[in-house]
Amino acid sequence: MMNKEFFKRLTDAHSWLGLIISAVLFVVFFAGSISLFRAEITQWSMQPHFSVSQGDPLPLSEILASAIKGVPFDAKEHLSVRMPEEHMPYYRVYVDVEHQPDEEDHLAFFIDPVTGEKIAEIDRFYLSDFIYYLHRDLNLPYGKYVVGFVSLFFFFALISGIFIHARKLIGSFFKYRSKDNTRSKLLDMHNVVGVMSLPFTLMYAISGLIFNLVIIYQIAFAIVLYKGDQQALLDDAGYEEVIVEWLDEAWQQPKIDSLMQQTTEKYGSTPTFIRIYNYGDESAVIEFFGAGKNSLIDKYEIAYQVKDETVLFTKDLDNPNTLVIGLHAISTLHFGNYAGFDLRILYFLLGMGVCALIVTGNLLWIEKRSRQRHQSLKTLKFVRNFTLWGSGGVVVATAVAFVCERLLPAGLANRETFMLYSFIATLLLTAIILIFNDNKKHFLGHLLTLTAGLLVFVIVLDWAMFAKSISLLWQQGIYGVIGTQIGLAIMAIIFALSGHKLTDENVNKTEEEYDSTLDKATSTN
Amino acid sequence: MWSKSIAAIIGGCLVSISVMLNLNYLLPLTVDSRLFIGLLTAFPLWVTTMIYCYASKSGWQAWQRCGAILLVSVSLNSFFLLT
Repeated sequence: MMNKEFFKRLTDAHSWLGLIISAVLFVVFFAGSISLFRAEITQWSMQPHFSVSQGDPLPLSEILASAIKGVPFDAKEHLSVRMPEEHMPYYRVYVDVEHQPDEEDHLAFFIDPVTGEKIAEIDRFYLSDFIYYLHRDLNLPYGKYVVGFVSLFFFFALISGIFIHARKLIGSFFKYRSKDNTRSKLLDMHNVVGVMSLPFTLMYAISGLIFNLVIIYQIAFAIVLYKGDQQALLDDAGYEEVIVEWLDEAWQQPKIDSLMQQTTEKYGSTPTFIRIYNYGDESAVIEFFGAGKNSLIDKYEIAYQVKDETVLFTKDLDNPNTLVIGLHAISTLHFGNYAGFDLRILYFLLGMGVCALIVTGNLLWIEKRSRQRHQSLKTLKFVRNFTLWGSGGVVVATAVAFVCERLLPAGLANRETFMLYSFIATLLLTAIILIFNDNKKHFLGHLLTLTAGLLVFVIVLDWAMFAKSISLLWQQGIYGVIGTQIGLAIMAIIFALSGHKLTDENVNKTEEEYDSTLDKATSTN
Repeated sequence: MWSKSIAAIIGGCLVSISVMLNLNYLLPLTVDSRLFIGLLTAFPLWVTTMIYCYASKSGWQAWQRCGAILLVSVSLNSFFLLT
């Protein structure tokens, strides 16, 4: 079955589909790799604007009372709290508010754990969330499904790549022809990165598909196996929904803090997320979510009736549901948060490796097609521009978003919108300049050099605007801001070196001479 | 390429759903385990069918191949549903 024709058809499909999905896939992997440090970037964004109070933290009940003060809280909905963690010294509370159909249904605040004061609105510091949403759904309506289908084709590209490369998998594993022509170098880089990152990319392809396209199987199962009873399927899948009826009677001495303590002792770890239904009413229910010691599979969810502390339901390793545990394990693997910081560095390097895999794959396609006489020049030009725009354009736009995030005052109305516009405007500007630029390799080099410059500018701005605050944070043992700066500096060096390599006349001249000699030799033969 | 792609996407999806339903009937496990295994195997099944489709010489052959698998698998689905 696996004859020459089989490999040819598969190679064709691999290169065409790879090309079609490349720009979106690059965005997903680039934004996803940065999002591994989402907590650090959030802290870098907001922390220098605010001080960190010293002292004993207030109990949860007081934080909740403070959260709803002065806002049109809709008590018949939820009140949710994310607890302070390593890179976030504040509570993050999400208050459902009374609203008109076209208005926002909730408000979100940072709350100081010592004073109980509302520090700022969470949405003002949107950069890390924006990059994460870019990874998750491209910040577009129905983008989740677009990313899902791109993941499907990515999975196909991986499996077809294994078939194509299988015969040379072992023999050519350490092959890298650094002194040969451009095509050989690109091909070796594409193969080596592809093979080395395979377990990682397979995990990402499957988990991405499960997150984004599970709805297809959910619908099929609900219709065929459960005869349309969606709730029965959700019950079997371990999904519990809290439904409580509003009694309109004020609660009497709710023991929220005691329930919090009880849950922490039961599982040996503080809950990370808390949600209250019907806050203030006798019918109130509180739900705690957290992760146990063995964090790859060990998570818990427990709901109590507040008035008498009875447990409504529990989901943990003592009451296992394979689907819930399995999905939690897949999610933990995907986000790389089951081990330390070093694991996230490894994930980041692999993610950037996949970005290189995508770009080299496209360059290989362009290189191969440009040697074919019947290939349309317009198609080649479009693919070349699209590849450059999808990679270099996104990289430089992200750096501009970092500059805006730092420059914009914390109190500015619609601060997040300005940051968003800066990203889109940079992408548009890159596309326009790209059309009028003939030397694409140099252009990419200049984009990377510009990105390096912007990242250095961000660090300079940090110290020019917040030197005192950053030093104080360091003294208080809060290293997230300087840590992010170190990350930005390393990325600036990498981009500067890559930019220099692409714009270096001597390197390019040698490669071009070599390629032209090879072309002549090929045409003579 | 486009005709093969349509067969790979739609045919692959239908094949994976049908085989997954059969697995759900055949595996002697608890319902939550069956759902999880089904979810894990569904996408690799879809992609395997896609490989089979793209390796075909034409879109028509890709549909024939999908159709043959679907015929067997859907027959099994019907058997399980009706018995």
